[in-house]
Amino acid sequence: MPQNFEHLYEELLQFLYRTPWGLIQAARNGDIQMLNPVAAKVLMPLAFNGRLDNIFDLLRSARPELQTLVAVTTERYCVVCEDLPLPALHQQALGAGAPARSVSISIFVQNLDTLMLVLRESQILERGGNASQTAELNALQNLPQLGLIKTREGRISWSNPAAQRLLGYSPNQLLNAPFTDLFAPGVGELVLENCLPTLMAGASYRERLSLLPRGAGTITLEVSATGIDLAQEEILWTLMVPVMQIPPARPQALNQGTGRERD
Amino acid sequence: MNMQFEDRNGLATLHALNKEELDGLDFGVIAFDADIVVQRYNLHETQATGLRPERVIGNQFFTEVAQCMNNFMVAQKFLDAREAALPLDETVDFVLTWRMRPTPVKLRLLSSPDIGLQYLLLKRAA
Repeated sequence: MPQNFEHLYEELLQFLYRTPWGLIQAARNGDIQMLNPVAAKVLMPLAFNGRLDNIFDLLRSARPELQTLVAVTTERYCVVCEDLPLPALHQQALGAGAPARSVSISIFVQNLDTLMLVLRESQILERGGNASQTAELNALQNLPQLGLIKTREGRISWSNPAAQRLLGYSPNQLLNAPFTDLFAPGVGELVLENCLPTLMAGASYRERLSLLPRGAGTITLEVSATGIDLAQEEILWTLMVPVMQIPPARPQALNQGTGRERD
Repeated sequence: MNMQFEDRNGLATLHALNKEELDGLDFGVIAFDADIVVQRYNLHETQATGLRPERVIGNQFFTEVAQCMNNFMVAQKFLDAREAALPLDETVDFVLTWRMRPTPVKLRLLSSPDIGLQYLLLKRAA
């Protein structure tokens, strides 16, 4: 390599080594091809076998839905998710009293074979969930997948635009509606009964479930659940990827507890 | 010089090596002082990372040279040993990003209260 190119190559390497964000290039199946030091630093605590082979395997406990998110993306170049928080990767900064840092991930499809991923650390300003919850919700606003929050009382306290589109309700119609009304009678109660103990045990919850959108029969979806505040039984439901849609319509109205029908 | 990565008296032996002897080792060696500023960087490490010593020596190790090790698995162990004034000799499995490729390695962390430099040995995992 000519001296000049060698020098430029070294500068480029140093730039990548010093970049404060984690950068990863991976195949569509998640196999890591290249990564920079910050990416290795963030991911190493998850590499129980001492290897960083596949990004989806590494992040399965934090975000089991990532691989599906990528798999359902058919565009040649697109944003799969942006600044999606990875709660399991909160980092304790070195040194006594140093603030904890949260980690979020962005995934970009570069072409049919390649993904670019960015891991970004930021200081957690407020311990106890509010800051990370806000970040989570901001990220979900832009996701093509559905996001809902269920409160301890079993009502929907937040929904993203994708949820409103998919389920056929306005934000106001979903707000405070019973979560179980999204399922066939009896199913929602069973889902909640199974989900909470799973999350409490530190495991991730993922199921294929059938939901009842407004006037559109049934939609079968891959459903993931993440605890926001498990002591308060507050759960975020994300990534409901349509698996199949069954047409028979049924007259529908979500019940906000007032018994009134929605338009 | 035929010092091995696993030599029992690794720290004292390494610290006594001159530059040429350090460059002759078949594993990477990086030494940094109490302020975590890099003081020694051998040829094997240069070949692995693509960075010459003059780009590395004088820089903060955990923030400017090897951010990947700025965590509880490596940096914290050096900090803890220094704070407790205890010797450190620990080998950990790690993945480095030499030239941006994920590379499984073994790291050996060496320090002692009576030696001014702290040493990190790096060897590609078999």
